[in-house]
Amino acid sequence: MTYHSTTIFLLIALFVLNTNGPANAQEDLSELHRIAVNRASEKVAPSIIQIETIGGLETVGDTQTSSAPTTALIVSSDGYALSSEFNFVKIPSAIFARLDDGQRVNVSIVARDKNRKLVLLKLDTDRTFPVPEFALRDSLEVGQTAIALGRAYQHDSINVSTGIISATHRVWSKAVQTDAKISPANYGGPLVNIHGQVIGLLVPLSPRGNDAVAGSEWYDSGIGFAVTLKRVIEKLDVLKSGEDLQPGLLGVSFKGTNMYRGQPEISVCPGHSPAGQAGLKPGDVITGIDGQRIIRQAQLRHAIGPMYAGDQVSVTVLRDDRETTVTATLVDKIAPFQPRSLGILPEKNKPGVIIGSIIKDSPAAKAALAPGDRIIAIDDVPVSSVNDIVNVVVGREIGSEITIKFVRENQTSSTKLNVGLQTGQSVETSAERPNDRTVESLVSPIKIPEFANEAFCYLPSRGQDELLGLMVWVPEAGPVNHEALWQQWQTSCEEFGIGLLVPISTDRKRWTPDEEEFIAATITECSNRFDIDPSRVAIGGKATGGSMAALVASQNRESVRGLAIIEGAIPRAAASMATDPNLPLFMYFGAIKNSEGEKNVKAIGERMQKNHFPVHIDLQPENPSWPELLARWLNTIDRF
Amino acid sequence: MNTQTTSNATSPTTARWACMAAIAAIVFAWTASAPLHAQFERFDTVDRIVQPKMVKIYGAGGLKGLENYQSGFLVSEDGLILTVWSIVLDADPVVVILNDGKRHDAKLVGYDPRTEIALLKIDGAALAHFDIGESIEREELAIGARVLAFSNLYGVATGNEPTSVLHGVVSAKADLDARRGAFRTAYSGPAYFVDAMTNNPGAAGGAVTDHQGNLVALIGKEYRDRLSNVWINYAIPISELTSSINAIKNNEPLETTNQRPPAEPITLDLLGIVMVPDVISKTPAFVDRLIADSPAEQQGLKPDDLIIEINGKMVASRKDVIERLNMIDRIDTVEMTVRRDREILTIRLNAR
Repeated sequence: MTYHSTTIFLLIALFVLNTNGPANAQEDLSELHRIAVNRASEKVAPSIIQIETIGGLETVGDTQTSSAPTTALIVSSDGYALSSEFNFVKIPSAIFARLDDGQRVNVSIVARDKNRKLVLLKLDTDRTFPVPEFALRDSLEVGQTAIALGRAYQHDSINVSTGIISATHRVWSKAVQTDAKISPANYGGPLVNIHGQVIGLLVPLSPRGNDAVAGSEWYDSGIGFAVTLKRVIEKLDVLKSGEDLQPGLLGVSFKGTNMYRGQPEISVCPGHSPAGQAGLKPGDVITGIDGQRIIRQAQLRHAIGPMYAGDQVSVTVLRDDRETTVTATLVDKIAPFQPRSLGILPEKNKPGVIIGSIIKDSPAAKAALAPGDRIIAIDDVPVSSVNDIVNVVVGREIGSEITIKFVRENQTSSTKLNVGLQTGQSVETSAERPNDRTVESLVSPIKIPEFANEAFCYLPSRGQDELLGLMVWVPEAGPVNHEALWQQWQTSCEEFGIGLLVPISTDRKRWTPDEEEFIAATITECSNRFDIDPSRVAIGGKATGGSMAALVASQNRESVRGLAIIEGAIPRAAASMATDPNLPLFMYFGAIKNSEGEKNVKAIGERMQKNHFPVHIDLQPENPSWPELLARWLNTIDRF
Repeated sequence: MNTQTTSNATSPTTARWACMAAIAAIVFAWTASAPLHAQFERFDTVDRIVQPKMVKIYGAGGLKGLENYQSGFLVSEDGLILTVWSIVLDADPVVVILNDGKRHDAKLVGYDPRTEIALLKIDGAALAHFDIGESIEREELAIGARVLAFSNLYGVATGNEPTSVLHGVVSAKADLDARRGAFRTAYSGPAYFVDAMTNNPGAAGGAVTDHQGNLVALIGKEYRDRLSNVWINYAIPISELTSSINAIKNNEPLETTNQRPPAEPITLDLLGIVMVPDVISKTPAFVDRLIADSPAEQQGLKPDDLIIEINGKMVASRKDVIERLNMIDRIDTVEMTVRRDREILTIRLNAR
């Protein structure tokens, strides 16, 4: 009997043990985690400095600035520290460092890293500081513990947020992404791993915007970035000397507009650019950067993204089935692209490229070309579309000579001409519509899922295989009588073979920026549903409608080839549009002579001309028929 | 089988007893070494212990971004509930729904505008609750300590659904300096800043516990940090609220903020300081000039000095300087930290 009771006792004892043992382990896990995080934080803490700023702007753009203490990380024992540019956008009048013993020292900004949005600070003190250990980029893995540290609250303690590494190469490989809470409480502080090694410096970043406050609206969101510092540390002496670091540019444009699909085949390579100087040419396909294999354009951006102006990079290209490697030195500025012009308007609705008309005093006018000629090659590169021609011509310097091979009355010949500058000036044109237009005119409502807005597409009667131009006319906000609008446009649209797309805002008073997506979607929908010639798609509007049109154009360059604004302005978000060899954009600015609108229109017109866009400024006497003028203009934006 | 001889019977029996005693000792030592509530650390167990103490509160509001719900928790077995004082409680009745889905009409016992807390009372008996006394005795949480935040953020939980649980760590412990719009919050004592997303509609009044489910702090209302302008995730330690809670419970007078300015504060005039005028509200605090033979002049302050700190608090503008001096009694010493050219010095001033 005693034998049994011992066994029972043992079983009970084991039972009690079981309910307590594992629980002990669970408690220890939380505590162990805290201890490990603490140890890592304490290791770096002596290199984390509290920064106080006094004075400066209260708002920068739409963002309110902060007057709370911020953080910096020591990178040189003699008192140099890196911090986030965000902490200094308000341009403070005085900057101090509050050391952990309470002492205050002066701090000055020495230089900026414009690529990673950092500032280099110098602490005015003889005291020396420990430089932290940095983690090797290769050792980083998604899922590893990431600890975000700052010193924004007390000068004698660190504030902590924990999370994991979410991604290792973000924002063109400049940053590591974490889900630790990143905010002004730790901008300028380090992101460290469980060993207390610095992964990077915490900064607000956005893959879309590039100004100093971009990405700061994502604070405490679960997405946060830390820029890696290896390259910055390598260039620390440059920063220490007071020189800013700029992102490095190679100075090439590539064929195609989809950087995720397209291979990096150079289409534009100006002679004065780093690529041009290194000996690269249009037609070369980049296959490697610094030994790293490159297959898509996006990979190139990842490779060059972290580099600075002044950096040397080795570029491997494939040319005529052979690979060569050259060395290029990146620069901080490349002159903007100047659109090319040969002075030709193509015939509409015909296969291949047939000259419809030649613009007066243009390069084509000086060559031995005539309407009806079919162009088949440029500099021995066969061409069968306007796009093909543009791809070759953008790679040629302005003023350089090209050879055009063409067919006239079954005879092939060639002629030379010098590539000209596309100024966008108004040109004569006439309607070329087929005689039998058997497809009825129609009006079609366009509905886009997820958007409450309405849009209507009016098409004139047309031929079976005829391609129409498309005028996207953005009315001013509020309810619109689109039938009446069509009445105004119908004659001109019938004359030139143009469809009219009218998007309508949901708010009675104004267009909101997010409605840009709706308008873009209607253009795509129209282009898919009907036979629209992509080289004759323009968007325009009057006053606020024109401003909205400009916004849509700036965000959707691959969908529109013309922008027309009547007596309106270009919103700030769109005013910094830049020319792109792959995405031509012809601009038309119209106003009544001697009106208030004339001044504005001349101002934006001249501004866009300075940015090298082809611009036509049209000042009309009282009561012009804008639909007629715009339809005529739209008929010419397929020129090359 | 009774085959053992009596002479040998004693040693095996003693051995057995010795074994059992040894096992008992080990078991006793083992269970004693583990904390009493060791069985509560598994998260699902913690959740099961805490949720019955949480309540969902519904009241006034529901217009223009002011939600009509918030969170709270029981602090007595007969139905006393701690929550934040807000316009949600401005209803009659305030509806409280317990974890089991039972609905109660709650009475407002009282509130304290200084700490922005309120106590509600429902009719109940033997209700699961947090013991405030025990919370106070607990040690402060260290930075990096894991916390859980229980609340009905976004009003996701309805009826007998449990409140939502968030997790994070203590990021910092510092004085709260917060605002909503232009209104500066009354409570400026210590708060836990956490990296759990407690700054969300309906979360205020919820409970922040340690990883074992012990109550540590009350989730505060949605405020921005006054200096950095960011929305803050914070909770007020229970220890900072006890006097307030007791005063409300026992219907005693509430503590007013001991931030009352002195009857005769020190002023710039008394010291003889003329500051560079406020061009914008954040003009830094530069000394323009000093009145001849004034205390400030004689005690070493100079024109063009930039005043950075007064008696331990940073001053960013002329307005800050005046506000700060207003809290210092005329007869007290003012310790001013200034920047003069590249030097940073501390000057002690007395208005004689």
